[in-house]
Amino acid sequence: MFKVCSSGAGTCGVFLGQKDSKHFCGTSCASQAEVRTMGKRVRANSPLNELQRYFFEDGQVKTRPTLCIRCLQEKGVKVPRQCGNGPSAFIPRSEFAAAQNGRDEKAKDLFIDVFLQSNRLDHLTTVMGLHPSYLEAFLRTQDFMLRGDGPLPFHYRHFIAIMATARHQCSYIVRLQENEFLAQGGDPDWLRGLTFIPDKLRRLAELIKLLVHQPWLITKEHLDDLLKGPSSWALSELVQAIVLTTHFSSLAGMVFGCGVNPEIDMEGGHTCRPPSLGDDPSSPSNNNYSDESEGASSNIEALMQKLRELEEQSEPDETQEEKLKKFEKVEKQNVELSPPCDDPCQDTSDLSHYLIEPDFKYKDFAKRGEVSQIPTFKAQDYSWEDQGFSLLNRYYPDVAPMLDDKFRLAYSLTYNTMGKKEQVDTSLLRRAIWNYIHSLFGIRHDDYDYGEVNSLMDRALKTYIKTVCCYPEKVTVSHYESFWRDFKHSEKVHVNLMVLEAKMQASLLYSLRAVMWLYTR
Amino acid sequence: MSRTVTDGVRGTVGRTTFGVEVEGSINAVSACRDSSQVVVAGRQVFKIFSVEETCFRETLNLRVGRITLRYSCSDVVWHPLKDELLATGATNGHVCTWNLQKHQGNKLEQEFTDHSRGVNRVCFHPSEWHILLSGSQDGTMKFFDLRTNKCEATFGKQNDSVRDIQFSPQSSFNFAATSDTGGIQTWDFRRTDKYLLSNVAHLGPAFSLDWHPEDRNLIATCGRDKLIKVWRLDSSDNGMTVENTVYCIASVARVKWRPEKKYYIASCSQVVDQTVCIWDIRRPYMPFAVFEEHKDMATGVVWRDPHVFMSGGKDGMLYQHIFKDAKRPAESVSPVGVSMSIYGNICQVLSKSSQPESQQQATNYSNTRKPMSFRRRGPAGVQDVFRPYESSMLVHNNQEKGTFSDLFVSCAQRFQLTGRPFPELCEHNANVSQELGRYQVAQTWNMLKLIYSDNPMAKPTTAPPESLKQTDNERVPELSVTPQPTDNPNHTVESAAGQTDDDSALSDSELDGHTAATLQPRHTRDGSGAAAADFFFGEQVRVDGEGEVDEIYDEELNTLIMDAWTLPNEAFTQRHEIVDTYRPPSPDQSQQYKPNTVTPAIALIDTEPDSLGNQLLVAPAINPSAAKQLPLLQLSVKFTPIVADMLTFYANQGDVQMAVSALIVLGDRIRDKISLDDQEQWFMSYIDLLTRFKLWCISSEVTKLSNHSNVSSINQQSTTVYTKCNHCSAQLDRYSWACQHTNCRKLTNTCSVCHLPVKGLYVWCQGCSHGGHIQHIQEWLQENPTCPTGCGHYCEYT
Repeated sequence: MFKVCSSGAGTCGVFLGQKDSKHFCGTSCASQAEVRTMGKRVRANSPLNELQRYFFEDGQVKTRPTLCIRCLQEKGVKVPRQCGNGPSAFIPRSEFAAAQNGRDEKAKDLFIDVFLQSNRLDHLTTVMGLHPSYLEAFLRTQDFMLRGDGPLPFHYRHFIAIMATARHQCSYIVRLQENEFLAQGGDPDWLRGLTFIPDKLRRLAELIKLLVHQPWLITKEHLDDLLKGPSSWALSELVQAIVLTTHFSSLAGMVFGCGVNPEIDMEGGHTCRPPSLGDDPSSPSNNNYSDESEGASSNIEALMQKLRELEEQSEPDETQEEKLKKFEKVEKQNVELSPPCDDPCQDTSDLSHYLIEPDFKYKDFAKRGEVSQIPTFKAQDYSWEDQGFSLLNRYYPDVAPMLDDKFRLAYSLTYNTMGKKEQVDTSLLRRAIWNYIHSLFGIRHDDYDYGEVNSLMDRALKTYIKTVCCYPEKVTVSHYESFWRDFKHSEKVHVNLMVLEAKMQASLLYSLRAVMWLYTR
Repeated sequence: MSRTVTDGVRGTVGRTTFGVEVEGSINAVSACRDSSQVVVAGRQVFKIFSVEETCFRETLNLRVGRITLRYSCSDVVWHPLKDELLATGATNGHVCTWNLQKHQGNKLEQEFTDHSRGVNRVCFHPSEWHILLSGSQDGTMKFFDLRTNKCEATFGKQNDSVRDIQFSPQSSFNFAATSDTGGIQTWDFRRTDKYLLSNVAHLGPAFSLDWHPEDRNLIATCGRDKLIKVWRLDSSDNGMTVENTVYCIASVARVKWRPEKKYYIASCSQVVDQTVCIWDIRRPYMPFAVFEEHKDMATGVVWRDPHVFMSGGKDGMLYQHIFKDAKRPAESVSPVGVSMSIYGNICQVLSKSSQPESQQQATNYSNTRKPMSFRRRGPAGVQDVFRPYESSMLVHNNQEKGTFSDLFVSCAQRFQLTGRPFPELCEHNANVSQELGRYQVAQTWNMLKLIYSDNPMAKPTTAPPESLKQTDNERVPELSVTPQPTDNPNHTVESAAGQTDDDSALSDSELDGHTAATLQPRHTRDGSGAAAADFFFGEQVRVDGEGEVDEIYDEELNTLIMDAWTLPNEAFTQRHEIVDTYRPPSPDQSQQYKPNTVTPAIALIDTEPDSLGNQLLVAPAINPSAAKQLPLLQLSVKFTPIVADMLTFYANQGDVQMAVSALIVLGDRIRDKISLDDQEQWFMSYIDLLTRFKLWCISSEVTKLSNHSNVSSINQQSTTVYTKCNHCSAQLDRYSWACQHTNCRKLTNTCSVCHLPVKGLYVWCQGCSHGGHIQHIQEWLQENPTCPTGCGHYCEYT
């Protein structure tokens, strides 16, 4: 009947629901409390009316909802509570305290905005809140994609988001987007699966399949096909669909990569069981994490040493072939980091009705011992800054500068720290990670020495990145914990942000190149 | 080894357009000093062609030996003095020089590996042979001395990729560079620590720049923001200003001034536009000449002389273009413009050449103003082959009176859509239409009034008092124009005055035959007044459930419908009796009343507004509207489809004004009979028209009255009111009660009584502009006469 969540130290939201007929929330910042009483009047003597007495005082939400909840519990009402501990299963809750307690002003303001807009502060936003400057750009972009100007109807946008994330089994985003889809007046029938949606959207499934898993297979024929025939797409619509798909499929990686917990109103997100004493208040990852941090700080030292060496090192006297070989070596090694396991995905909810060919997955760009049919994508020949941006700006105006900001922020974000060390120039490391992610998609930067990837990134990090990037549904806590043991959580989240953005840029480049080919080939 | 491919040979010998395929996309082209040879470079190609009369002839392929990334060139430049020297910048960051006089296969002379990222541009000093500059993605510019073969100096900071770098052709020490963040900088070659001038030239990367070949203070830059800007360097105050801006259709990758033509510049774009455009910088929107040979983006331009240039493209073609073969977009554009104002005036602009014939065309628009002539000449002193543009503007005033626009405006202003009882609205609107000579519309309003309005006697003005009944009855025959051949004097008692009024109105308005036809048989079949009387009283009886009356009713059903709604005057004496026994109709009952109904009446009964024409109903205990309007319903139900058709007819004719006005006045009577989409379309087009005539108030009123969710949402768009902080004038975007500005961070006006921020209603004294929480002020002013702040103002709370 009703759900109560108290997530984080200061935030408390109350959701009462008879299918949304009653819905009000209160926050710690009482000034911002938005009281929404929608729908029918509550009949006298109904339990809801009684509830109303608890929660309202002269038409205002009481400032202490927790008190109200306690009252209810005393009355014997089952109050569900959050299953997971904090926003993320990987990151201890204490990490997010700064933003939630208002010590981080910028993050707090952004959180307030998110709350006002969507009536909830979702866990994903909370995790991203560790990097407020990025979060700001991210929210602006996502808001524009879903609610701003654009050729696609709003419910289409949300449905495309559903189709894209369902390919990664990411029920978290799928559920959020399903809600949004319905709120935009979408036909509930569509949520029953691809057979119930219009032809036009269904035709997109093939392109989404490629975009999400193997963007390098996209050719102009795929696009040409969609632009013709009955229920065809306009090019500007198609470009928006591509942007949405790349955005949300990369976002799914972030959700899994940071182990974002389901929201309280999702399946598996809440329990009515009272918290037992055995439940450890701090998350497990926190425990062994702190244990090892002292002993392992040598890892950082070693990494910094390598960084220094690379910086001081004069240009190695090696031929170009050696460099090419290095790239190929990195590519080959990518292959060796095989899909971690064939364990079924952690997320058991069935999203197969949104998919075609559910077995279509990421395949290594370069097969071991095989000559790849598809040529490597040379970053210099079709770069985001030169061609990608301009083309996108033409077909989907305004979004290109926002994406540009977002890419740049994710790439250049640094606090000059590494774990506990300060005043570190991390640019080499960031470039290595970025280019490594691109190499997973067969994009080569001519001017980069791929030897650096191997010297700066250890196997655990590469495994983690590859898993987040290509098989996000298979990320486990052990993946997350095994890399960069002595780095801060926020730095690990930054790695995830880079995966998100680099992956999005890679898929965008492939698809925009295909768009350009429509006119030049 | 050499291979010749020519195509597109056109024009006379010597100067022709021709091209050659070079097997690989071209990133850059450069020509030697006398333009007899040209080098092309790209990821897969590095070749030298000699330029012949009608073709390119491949003379040398430099891409030999071990193929490495150094052959993946992003730029190539031929030495301006030494014909044997070339320099390339590679995508992997290497800068190479090539000596063509070397005898072995590999002509590589020097390789500089100082850049850590890809090199975007290389350039030689125009007069000092040993100076080579390079600009790289890593944000630095390096000076390589070809005598020592070392990097001698590094310019620039790290985090801003250099896109282009060019020496000034006149001053021997200055060079300019553009960057990824859109900046342009000029440097003195001798000072490595600091630039001379710096400016943000473009939004997004500035891809290329070119110094003007003659004017030493002019630089052209181009960028991703689709602009070409011409900057004038001001040496006196060390600034740079934009002189001209050219607006292209796509982001611009390269610019190159046309030699010997001061105002001409060539550009090629990064995406979308595959042409090479030559612009006159004084004409910013239309290229002067366009060359369309390339099938993919053109990447480099080299001038041979003012009329011939060569270009390479991503499609792997090297072309020589001559001006004779160019497309001149300006010539194919018809220099005529026509525009029509909403009041029917027409403005026409023609160039002089096309004027005579168009003046012959006679229209019913009389030319009331003298044609105005505009003349534009090129600035004096500029030798140009082009004649000055001359054009004239003609304004034709519409002299036809009573045109659509006049009618529309006065109708829009005078129609009343709400605020009065329905019949009065109809009558008013009918009168308005009548006065304006729109007779058909006037009739329509009258018809609507008849069909939907209640018993006319319900209107105090028209309902004759009971005492006058007799005279009314007498008047009936004269008043009713409808032929009543078998009219029995008896019958009039019941049909009474109201009926006669209506009949006459109906016939006056020449209602379609339908109404007349239904009227006539009634009189013929009606025969005896007794029957009619029975019918009337039967209403009362029928409600009581007497079968006998039902019979009568059934008999007369076909024709009596018209009759049914005219409640005779006598009814008033009995009204209470009638309604006392009357209960709101159940579905079965209403079914009974209208055996030949078209649509279910229940909905109508429910939605029929009580307010219209029911003033005289005096029995509050019962459901007066239902009781009273039941007969009326039968009429309106019958006519509703016709009215809906009629509105559609008006709308299709283009008179959305009538359609929408009627829709609003009729309100719920008709709303559910017309599809919501149609309604929305009518409303939208009417509102659109109103806005064009700047009738803002009316358009807003129509929006308000539309009662259609999509339409009324117009009024909720851009309704944000922006407020500013009263201390620092910064915009208040998040809260209205606290300033977020970093330097201010104060509360805006607090409550004068409790000094806390006011988050809800703020009550304000208009005299002293102090105020606060509404309750606090209220309480305060109950006890004190003056302002709570102590400003001494005698505030008053009303």
